[in-house]
Amino acid sequence: MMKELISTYGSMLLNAIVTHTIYVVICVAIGFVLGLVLGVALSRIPRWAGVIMPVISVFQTIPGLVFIGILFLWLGMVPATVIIALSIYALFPVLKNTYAGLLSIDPKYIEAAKGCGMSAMQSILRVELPLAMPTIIAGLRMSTDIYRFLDGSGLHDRPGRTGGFHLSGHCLQ
Amino acid sequence: MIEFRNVSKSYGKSQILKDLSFTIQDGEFIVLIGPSGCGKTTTLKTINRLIEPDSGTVYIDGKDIRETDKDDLRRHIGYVIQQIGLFPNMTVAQNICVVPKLLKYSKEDCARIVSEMLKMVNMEEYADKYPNQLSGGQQQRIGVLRALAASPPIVLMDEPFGALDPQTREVLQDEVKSLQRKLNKTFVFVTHDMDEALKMADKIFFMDDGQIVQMATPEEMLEHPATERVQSFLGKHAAGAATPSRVEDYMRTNIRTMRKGRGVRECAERMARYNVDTLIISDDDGHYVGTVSIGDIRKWGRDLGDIDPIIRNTTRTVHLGDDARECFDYLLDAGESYVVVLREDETIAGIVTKTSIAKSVAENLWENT
Repeated sequence: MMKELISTYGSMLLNAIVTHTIYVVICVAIGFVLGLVLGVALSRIPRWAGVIMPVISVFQTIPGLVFIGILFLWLGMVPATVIIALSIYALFPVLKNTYAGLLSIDPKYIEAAKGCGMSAMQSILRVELPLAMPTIIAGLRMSTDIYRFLDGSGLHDRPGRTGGFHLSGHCLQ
Repeated sequence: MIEFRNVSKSYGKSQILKDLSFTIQDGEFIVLIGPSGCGKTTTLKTINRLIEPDSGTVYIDGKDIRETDKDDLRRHIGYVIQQIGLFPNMTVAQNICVVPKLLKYSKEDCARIVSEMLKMVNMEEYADKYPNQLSGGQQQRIGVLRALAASPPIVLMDEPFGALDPQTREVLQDEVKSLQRKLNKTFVFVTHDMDEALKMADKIFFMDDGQIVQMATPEEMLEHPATERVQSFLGKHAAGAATPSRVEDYMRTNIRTMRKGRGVRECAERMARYNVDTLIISDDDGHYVGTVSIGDIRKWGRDLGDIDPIIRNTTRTVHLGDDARECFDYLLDAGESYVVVLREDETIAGIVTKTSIAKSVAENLWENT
């Protein structure tokens, strides 16, 4: 059975896995960079962040399928639809953790950085981001969860996506 | 030179600094002291623009500090905080070199600075350690070195030793004081510990309620505290505080005595046992008779049965309640090493020795005894 499966679908499966992985990597990378930048930006304006963060949290609870559906109607069946949607989903955990990580830094380090004569940018790059990194990485790990979205919400009628296999797999049983 | 001219600062309704004006000369060690909330830390942070005053101007070497870029200003002013704040993601060497790096020193210069700095505090082997591998005292040493690394002419310290245990604190105080003397920099140091202030300062600025109530050397402040507040801060150190002045305050009571009529041999043995060169001799009722010294025993003791013939009555005696100062004057002038203190009924109470004078002098200055 297994042998048969591999001989029949092997190359397609491999192809699908590679494509899938590339999608995840691209989306996570985009999400990570955007999340990081937005997280840093939000941490500079804690007063606004108090409003923005809860809104983002609500947004995050919207099921991926719905969001992809909307984008699909708007952009049509193109890779950009998937990449945009999944990048945004990858962005949330990084954004939230960057923000939380930066805010939880002991103020003494920031005062020391200032007192040493670091500019705001130097303080972020040399002190604050390195100190928040464990939290940010935890966010990054969460954002790789989007592979499941891709699996579930990937566009099944197109070859080269494991989502297709997912469904086909069910059919085979 | 640092000059404050009519500097004021308020937070909401409370005015933290009230029209502050003063000048700090180059190379001075200034200690800002006062009750909490008096504005001493605010004053300090105004110097490196961590806090901007509402009105008034701060000049460094005659130049308004607002004309210098904030970051640039801070790179040329050392800053040490109480919570130490070494960057945990950097090694000791990297921490020391933060400011030199910001000033774009070459790699070689940075390396040289690190080794020179660590040598000063005998911590060369710690260069590649991370801050959390160091004790609190070692961390703050590095904190001080970080402030000194780019050899700024001015160093600000905000209660730098507040979080350290007393022994470590004292060691670091000594180190910083000697560094300051050696490097001849201007130090502005905030503390609420008067012992520390008296020990470190060339000049103490006593602040209360946003104003400087007294600017004086430690000596002057001790002699003439300007207000009650200053007096109470000085506490036991103040000149006005009652310093013990009676002989009994300095008297040693663990003395070796002997009854008259005892044997010479016994007497010598007793001296040997207690490691003293003189015994104080009393009669059977405890009244003072005189003293016997080891020198006399050696000279004549061989032919004597008892000690009576060699008892001398030349030692000065004083009575309980006498002024200690007179007693000290006598000891110093006459070159004697002790006087005998007697009770009213002429029995022996103790002795006052030259070492007691040291204690008195120390107490009159500020060291604890």
